[in-house]
Amino acid sequence: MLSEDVLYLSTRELAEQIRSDKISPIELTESYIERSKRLGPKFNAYVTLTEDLALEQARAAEKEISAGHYRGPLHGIPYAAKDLLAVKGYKTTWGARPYADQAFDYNATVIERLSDAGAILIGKAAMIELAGGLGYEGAEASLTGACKNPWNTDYWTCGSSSGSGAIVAAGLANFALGSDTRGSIICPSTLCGISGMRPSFGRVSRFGVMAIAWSMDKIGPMARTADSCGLVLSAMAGHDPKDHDSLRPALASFSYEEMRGNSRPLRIGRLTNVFPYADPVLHSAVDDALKVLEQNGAEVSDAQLPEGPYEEAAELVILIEAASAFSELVQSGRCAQLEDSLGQINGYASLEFSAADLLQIQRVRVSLQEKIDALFDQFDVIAAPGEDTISIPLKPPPQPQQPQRARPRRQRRKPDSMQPDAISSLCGLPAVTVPCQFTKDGFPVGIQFMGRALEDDKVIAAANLFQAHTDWHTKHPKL
Amino acid sequence: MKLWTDVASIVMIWAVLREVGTPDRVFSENGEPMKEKKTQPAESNGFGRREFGQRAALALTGAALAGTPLAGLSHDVAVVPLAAVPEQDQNAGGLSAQAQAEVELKVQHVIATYGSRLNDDQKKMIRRTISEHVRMLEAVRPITVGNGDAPATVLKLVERKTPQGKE
Repeated sequence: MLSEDVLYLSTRELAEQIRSDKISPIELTESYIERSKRLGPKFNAYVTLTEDLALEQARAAEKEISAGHYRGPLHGIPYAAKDLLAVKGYKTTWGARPYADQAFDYNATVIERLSDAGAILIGKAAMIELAGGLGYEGAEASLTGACKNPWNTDYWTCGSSSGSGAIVAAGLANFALGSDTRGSIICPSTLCGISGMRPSFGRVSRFGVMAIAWSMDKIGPMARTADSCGLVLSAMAGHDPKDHDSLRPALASFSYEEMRGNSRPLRIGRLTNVFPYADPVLHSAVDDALKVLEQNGAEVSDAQLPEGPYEEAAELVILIEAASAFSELVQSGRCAQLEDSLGQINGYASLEFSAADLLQIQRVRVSLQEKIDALFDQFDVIAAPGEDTISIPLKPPPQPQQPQRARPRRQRRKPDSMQPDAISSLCGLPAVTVPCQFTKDGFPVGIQFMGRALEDDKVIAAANLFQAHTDWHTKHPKL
Repeated sequence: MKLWTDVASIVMIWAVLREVGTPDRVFSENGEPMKEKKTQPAESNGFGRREFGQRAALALTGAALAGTPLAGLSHDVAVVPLAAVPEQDQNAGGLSAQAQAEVELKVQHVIATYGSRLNDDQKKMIRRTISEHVRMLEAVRPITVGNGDAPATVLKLVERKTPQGKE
């Protein structure tokens, strides 16, 4: 079996080892599978290991590479996929008991594209039930139980791409796929101390992926570095006629290697009006990170998110679309089988929204898009803490009852608190989070970069610049 | 038109309330179930024609009342007096009287429609949840949009799903 140091290499580093025949894809796959079997249960990281498929793909990769047919940087690289992506021959549970035996006879488009790139699927990652589509109150809201953070197993990974975060943080696969309707890649990536990316809306196909909110769902990579995310995004991006909201070919395609090397100084806006109630440690970590970027050529100045009901609009869109997406589950009463008490009833409440309200929200949404887009006339990217909390204990101290919302664990925030994930998710903006510090208690802290829609290259460039001059992304938990 | 509304309501209510199983399904690429095994749900929602008639009548009573202006609200929802609806809790605090009335209306509609599935704690949670929903709506509704401000929902024309020449 390969050493832990190898299993924690970035995608590009591992790819170079494979391409130059220093590492065998079969040995690499077997090593990740052995580690996944040994450590995965400790974190409740997986729903299913796809060992047979993985070994078949690894043998094919090894044969092709040995014959000189190297497909590119994902060839022979093992990964995991959140269990809301359809994979032929395996269950796709959506993390939820009502769908525990569900299977599809086809692959999601992104699974096909990664297969075409030579990547090796080793398992289906655990997740919050229905990716939190009907709301949830805690980490236990999953078919496979609470996902534990490899940095401290008394704490949660965050959700809903919980297993994907744990898998990458624990070195169980080289990268993982997550989904992000509102923060479900950014939050677990931040709390797990890894790099995670939410691409621009419409750039990556959702065909074969469980829907929560069709106008907000995105699929993205979670990996060791932002550079790794760029490599994975390159393989996944592109128009797909099977996805109603897929961008047209010229916009959807993303060629990461072509855009690398752009040397113009990045203009970074440091958001000063977000997360006002967050631990000051989070803000000072971002300030320190921005100093590193400034010292290495970036131009940093203060920026402010424009005012608007972003938080409310984002939540309402999700609630209304999810009530429709899961209407059969709600109306049949099978939502009672969900683990979470809020998830069991939230759909009933959401069916009460009117069409007039939905249209009002969607009309306001356009004006909010224009407001945030104008900010990017001044900045290439805007930066903020990756999350508004350092860590989330699995068993939080009892609190007085609060108003409930979808995914309230992450949303017990002051009503007037500006949430960058609300605005960027609502408007389909790309974002990358990368680790930028650790607290004295050993919890990772992240910085996120958000960019104008379709300028995914710039958020990766900002994160790349930071990671080129720091080593936070090389840290991993002692397991 | 009125008759059609009533018939449609009955069909809708039947669709909502009819008994459904818990299928183990395998889906094909076009979304059709390839195999389906129905099992009895843990909590059956099944009921006979008599009960269906009673429920439909109850709902239609509400539907008939829906056109009645109530505190300036425009929503078409059933108003069914129900003793089982939990009393308003403190989470409605901060909402305007109009918003609180809307919450009440919606809570009653949920209880009328799905109350048999919900215990008292869940009914309280429904009220809290709807209060929060209305609070969020109150933040968005006052924003002025013009006649030409289209929503962020578009109709896309159907696209060929296979490359030309490969069919």
